Amino acid sequence: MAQVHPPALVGSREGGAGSYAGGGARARRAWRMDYQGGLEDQELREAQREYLDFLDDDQDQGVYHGKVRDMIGANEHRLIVNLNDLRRKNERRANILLSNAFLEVVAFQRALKDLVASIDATYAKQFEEFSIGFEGSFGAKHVSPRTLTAGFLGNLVCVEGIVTKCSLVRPKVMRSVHYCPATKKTLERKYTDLTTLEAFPSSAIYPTKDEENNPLETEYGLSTYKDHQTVSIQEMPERAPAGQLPRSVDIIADDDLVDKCKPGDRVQIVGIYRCLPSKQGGFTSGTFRTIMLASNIKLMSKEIAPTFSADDVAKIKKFCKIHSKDIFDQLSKSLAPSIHGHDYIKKAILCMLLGGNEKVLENGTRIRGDINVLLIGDPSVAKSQLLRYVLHTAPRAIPTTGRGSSGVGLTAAVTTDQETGERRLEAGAMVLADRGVVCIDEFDKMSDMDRTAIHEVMEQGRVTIAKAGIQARLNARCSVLAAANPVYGRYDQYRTPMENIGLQDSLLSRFDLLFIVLDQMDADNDREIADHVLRIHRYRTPGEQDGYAMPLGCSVEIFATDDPNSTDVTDQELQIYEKHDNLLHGPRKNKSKIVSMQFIRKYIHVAKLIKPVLTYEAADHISQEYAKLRSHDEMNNDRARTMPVTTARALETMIRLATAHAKVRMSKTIERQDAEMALELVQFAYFKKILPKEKKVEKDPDLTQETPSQEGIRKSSRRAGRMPDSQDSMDPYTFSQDDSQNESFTQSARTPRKITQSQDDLKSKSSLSQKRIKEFKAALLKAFKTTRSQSVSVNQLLELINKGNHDSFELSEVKEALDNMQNDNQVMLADDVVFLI
Amino acid sequence: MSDWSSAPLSLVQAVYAQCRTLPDWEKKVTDYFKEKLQDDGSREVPSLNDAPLHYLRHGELVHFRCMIQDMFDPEYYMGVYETVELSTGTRALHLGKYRDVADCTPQQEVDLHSSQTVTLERQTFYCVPVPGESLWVKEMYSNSRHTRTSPSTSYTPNRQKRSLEEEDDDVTHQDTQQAGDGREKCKRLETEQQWRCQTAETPSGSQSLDRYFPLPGEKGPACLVKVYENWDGFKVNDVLEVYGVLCVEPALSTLNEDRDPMSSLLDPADMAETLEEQRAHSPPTSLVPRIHAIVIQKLPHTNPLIPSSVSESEASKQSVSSFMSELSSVRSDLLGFLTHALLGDGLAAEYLILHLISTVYARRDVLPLGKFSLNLSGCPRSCDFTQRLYSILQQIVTAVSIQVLPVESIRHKSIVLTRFFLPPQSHYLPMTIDTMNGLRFVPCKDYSTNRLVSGLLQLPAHTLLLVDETVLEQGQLDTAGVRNLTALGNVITWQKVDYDFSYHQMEFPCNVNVLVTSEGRSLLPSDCQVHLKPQTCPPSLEPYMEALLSATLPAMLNKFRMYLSLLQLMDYTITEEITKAVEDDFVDMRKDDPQSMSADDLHRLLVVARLLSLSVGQTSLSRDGWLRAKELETQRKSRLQEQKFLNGNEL
Repeated sequence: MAQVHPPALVGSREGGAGSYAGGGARARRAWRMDYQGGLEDQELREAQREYLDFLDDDQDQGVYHGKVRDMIGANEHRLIVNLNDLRRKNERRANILLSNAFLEVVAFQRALKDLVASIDATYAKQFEEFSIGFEGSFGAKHVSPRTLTAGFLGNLVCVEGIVTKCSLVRPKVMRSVHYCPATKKTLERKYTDLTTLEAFPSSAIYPTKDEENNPLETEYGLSTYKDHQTVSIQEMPERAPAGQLPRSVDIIADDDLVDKCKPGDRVQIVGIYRCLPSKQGGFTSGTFRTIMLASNIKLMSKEIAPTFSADDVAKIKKFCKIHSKDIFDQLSKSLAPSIHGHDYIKKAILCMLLGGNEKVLENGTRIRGDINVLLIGDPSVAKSQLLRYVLHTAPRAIPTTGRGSSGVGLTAAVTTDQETGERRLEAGAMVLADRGVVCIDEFDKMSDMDRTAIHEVMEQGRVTIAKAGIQARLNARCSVLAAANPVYGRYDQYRTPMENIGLQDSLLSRFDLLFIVLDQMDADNDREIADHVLRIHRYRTPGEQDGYAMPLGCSVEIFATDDPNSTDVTDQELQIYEKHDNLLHGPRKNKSKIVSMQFIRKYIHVAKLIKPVLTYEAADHISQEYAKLRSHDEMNNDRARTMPVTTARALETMIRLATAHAKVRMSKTIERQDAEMALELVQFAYFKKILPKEKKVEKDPDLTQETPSQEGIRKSSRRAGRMPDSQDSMDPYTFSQDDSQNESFTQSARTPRKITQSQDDLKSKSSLSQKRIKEFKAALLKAFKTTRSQSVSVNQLLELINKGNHDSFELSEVKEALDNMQNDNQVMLADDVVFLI
Repeated sequence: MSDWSSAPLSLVQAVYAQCRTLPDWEKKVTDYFKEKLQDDGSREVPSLNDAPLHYLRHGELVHFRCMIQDMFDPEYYMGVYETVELSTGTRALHLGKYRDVADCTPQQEVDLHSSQTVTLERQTFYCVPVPGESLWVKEMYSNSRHTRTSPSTSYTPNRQKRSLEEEDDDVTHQDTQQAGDGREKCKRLETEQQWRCQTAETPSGSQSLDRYFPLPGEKGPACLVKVYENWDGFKVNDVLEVYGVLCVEPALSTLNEDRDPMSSLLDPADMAETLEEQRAHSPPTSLVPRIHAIVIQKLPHTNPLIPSSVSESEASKQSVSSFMSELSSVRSDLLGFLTHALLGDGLAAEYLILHLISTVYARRDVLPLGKFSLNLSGCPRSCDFTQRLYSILQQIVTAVSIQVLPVESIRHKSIVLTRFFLPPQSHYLPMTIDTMNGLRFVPCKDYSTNRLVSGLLQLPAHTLLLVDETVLEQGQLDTAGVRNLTALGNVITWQKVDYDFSYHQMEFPCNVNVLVTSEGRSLLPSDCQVHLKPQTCPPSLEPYMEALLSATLPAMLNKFRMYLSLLQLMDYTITEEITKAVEDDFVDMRKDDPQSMSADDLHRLLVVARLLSLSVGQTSLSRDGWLRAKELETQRKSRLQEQKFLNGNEL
């Protein structure tokens, strides 16, 4: 990695460094924070003694003693010290270390060398110096490139950011040895410059001649070199304030720290902030450059953690306790407050953001924990807006469209560099969204190639590439939130959902939940929509100028104050609720408050950490309901399924959803209520009513030959499977009323409302029980068999049925039952004549 | 020329010497300049926008109207420094503020380790002239200042640009020779230059120095503005008005170019900063001068006819209110004007007015409120209708940028140049994959130079983006093309541009009115589609439009300009009662015809109502306004329906 340069280069390089560094050392003194002149040796020695005291903890716990031994064992020369440990033992020293880093670190390193020498004297001689890296809490000195201000110069700071640029690793001369052929003498020089800790850079110019002008030869084998690299890190996008471009800082990494990070990594770098005068050509520009000398580089995980204060966590816990009953509703309602209704979809999205538990079995199989959601529906029902919202809420979300993801596509692609002909692996949206959410708009317009590729990703969570000599497996463990338009542009109520969706079964079954979002007509609903839209239009951001908009989700998270003297961390106080704005949210009805997005984000982050386990009760419930769903499969009625078949995947789905719900409650166990909620969601998403065709009654009777026994099962299962159509109804068990209302709105006038109501009455009455109807149907079939005709008059029917039946049917009973069956399209009643369909 | 504007630095130094013990002496300086710049004082200051750079002196107070294109990292500098006379050893304190290079003669030396040195922080913005700024805006601004450059009329900003560009080609001194030459020669050179640009392999012009203009073919100087206070209040793409000290110190540009690459390696500071980065961050001052801002403010709009902040002075308030009284007459005139421009289509003109005064006034979650992008479908394809429309619109709006979809937009240079007459059709380049790839829509970060490379969509607020889809031809879009198209779609739908930071993307809100002209329905999304129904069909568009413009008095044009800019700044409310009425109305409409009335339709209807009310000067929605909006929408929809019926295949 390190490049060895030709001698000439190394030589001339050091030539300038010395003279340059000299000026720099003096300029540094201009900073009050910086090292003050020649600090007395005594002080230095005092510091060194204290550090040695800290490190040499053999009598105490022996933590650092052990660490030093490990370091020797691993043949390294950098010791990582936790600041918290130092603070515990010697708080004053720790504070001095943070503010006057240069000298203190030198003392610390010397102390370390002493300790190493006492443990293993020969090892200590191998290295010129031992370095110390720091970790632990930096308090106000934990900054981002934006908050790294001049006040931090000379301090030990911790900076977070994304690595954007890494220079080549170059060797730097530490010590050079020269031999003079004329005088037969050897000469040794040590070099330090502004990027090293030593207070006084050596003034030496790389010698080419000795005092008598005899030429010198450099002994390259005896000289020592050190790796040297510069790295730029840039502010992380979620930390940059709105409308401001991200800032960057240059970092200098020496020795073992080179190549610790590569562009694109999110890192925490601990180091000393320092400035260098920039002297250009022959004039003084009066400006300074600032750099950071790294002493420790830590890679951060891909998970972007919001910064938490203890207070935040307490708030979250309290919120959870207060709303233990309705926390799921509370949070789901607050998702995308600008979109009206769609409660179930919001719930599903909340579940998706939390996810289930991922399991990796011993044999390497992975059961995904990600929840995938597909929204299908008419144009202009705020699908895209929902997607957009998720993009802003989820900690890691990648947007893409089915159409727009050309080239690299959704998964990954091998591309060839035009110039060099090198092959490269380019990650697509789903790989980029690993451990996050990928939002795919216009899912239906996706190319077949992508659609095939997505199969593997959605279940296995990884992309396999075997192309152009490259074989690779990339992780793509992401949840998918997709939006698609129906095949016919608009959703056709008269067709089955499957026909409307028009995607392969195999792909559909990979979605846990599939929602059909329809434009619903209903006066109350409309009124609420109107109210909602109008409120948005009347809204004005308080105190904002025209046209100056604060974008969402870019709030500044300053985690250190600008003033380094004050030590308190001023994380903005977390607002649980959005400020209530009467104009915006309407009059405060049913005391529902909107939870702020900031809070939701943090809540999700905390809740995600919980890994709930399934209780027996919940497992029982799920397995029962799963069995019901399975049996429901064999049926065919007006509530068509949106999913192809209930497979074992549905079972997993239920478990995942139940897990997510348990996470929302911050519960460690998945209980029955979680299972019930999961089922509610599944049932809402799985079934979709198809409106019967106008003339379905007159269809060929052979098509719907059904035996009465099946009929009975269907009835009962229908009850179970029956879910409200309207999305704004809160209680799912008030279905009968809701349904009839909806039917009266959406269905054509074919079925008079009266009948529907009487039917409802019937159902509620126990007189015409399921058993009775079953008996009636059996008798009816028998009657038809005996007459061997397609039609029987009611009176004749009554006779036939009651023949040989000890529990005879009343005429009214028969009428009701027939009405009932007519509604189910099994018989047709006309002029008191019953037709079998 | 008074002292404060010709030698501001000596004045600052004097103030410093006088009262540096006072804590707020810096405020005194800015207050002093602010006071001087009040009223007519600002007219004295030469502007970088219209005076060629070599007419301005180093260290002089200048004015610059610009947009922030990039923001550099903050920079530390010596706020106060001490010099030592080498021969006598006498020491003197100097102020380092508002200057790039420490002021010291060869006999002096800056004492870097003096205890008196104070280090301060400042921020550098890379600023470009407002992209797409209309010519009339430029002219009117430059006429408003009587600078000493005004007599030599042949020096237009355009010429300045060419001289800069060709500096590499050793034609730098042509300027002086040609100073007296007539327009003829300029014209010829202009065309030559265009031709050269078009034939060049890389149209971005990166062969010399990239000056990061968002729109290709922009003119005027780019500038590094150094800001000394409150820089956190400024955002990228803000339009600024800067008064500051000009610095064209040649020493700054000598930089490291002459230094041998070996020695640059050993310098720890230079190790971090690559050569490209150096080049990008400190370009030669002859190309990119530095301005040390003393007085700096954000401009809410760039209309010279309206005072920069409406409530500034009594007089300006009065003029505005008097204008408001004749608002309705101006509106009808404008309607007539645009009706003519749109070949006699009154409805389209009505919608065009609404579109022109629309602006994003707030954002709710991810939803931008108040935007109203328009798609004019049914535009005649054969004649370059859009170009004519563009030239008309250029006359009335402050900033406009044309975008001919797939066609190379290097041509725009000429479009901006000519006043009304656009280049003949032959200048169009055919659509090739190369041109689509070559254009950058979305700004992206170039990490090797540590600069934000501008894209077509880096536009300040209130810019009109005219997308000409009529010239779109069939062809294959590649990755870059699709990405560009998506970016354009995002601007229309969300009013956001995702800047590309290679490791991640960052959303920047924008406020751009997008007008799409197309034959059929546009492939880009839009809030509203109006099908154009030409009533008249002039045999040739060129004389027709020309006649239209010449028939309109300049005073009238000015009124149009004021009208459009003022209305964008107006406030608007919806009262409680009307809310109720609208709600009822919506429910009723849903009952009657649920298919044609969705929440989205209501949304659009409310925007139309808002803009319609504003366009007649009403600041709240009235029953009448609501009905009129409904009527307008019905008309538009029926026309669309008709069109669908005609075409049959278009669904």
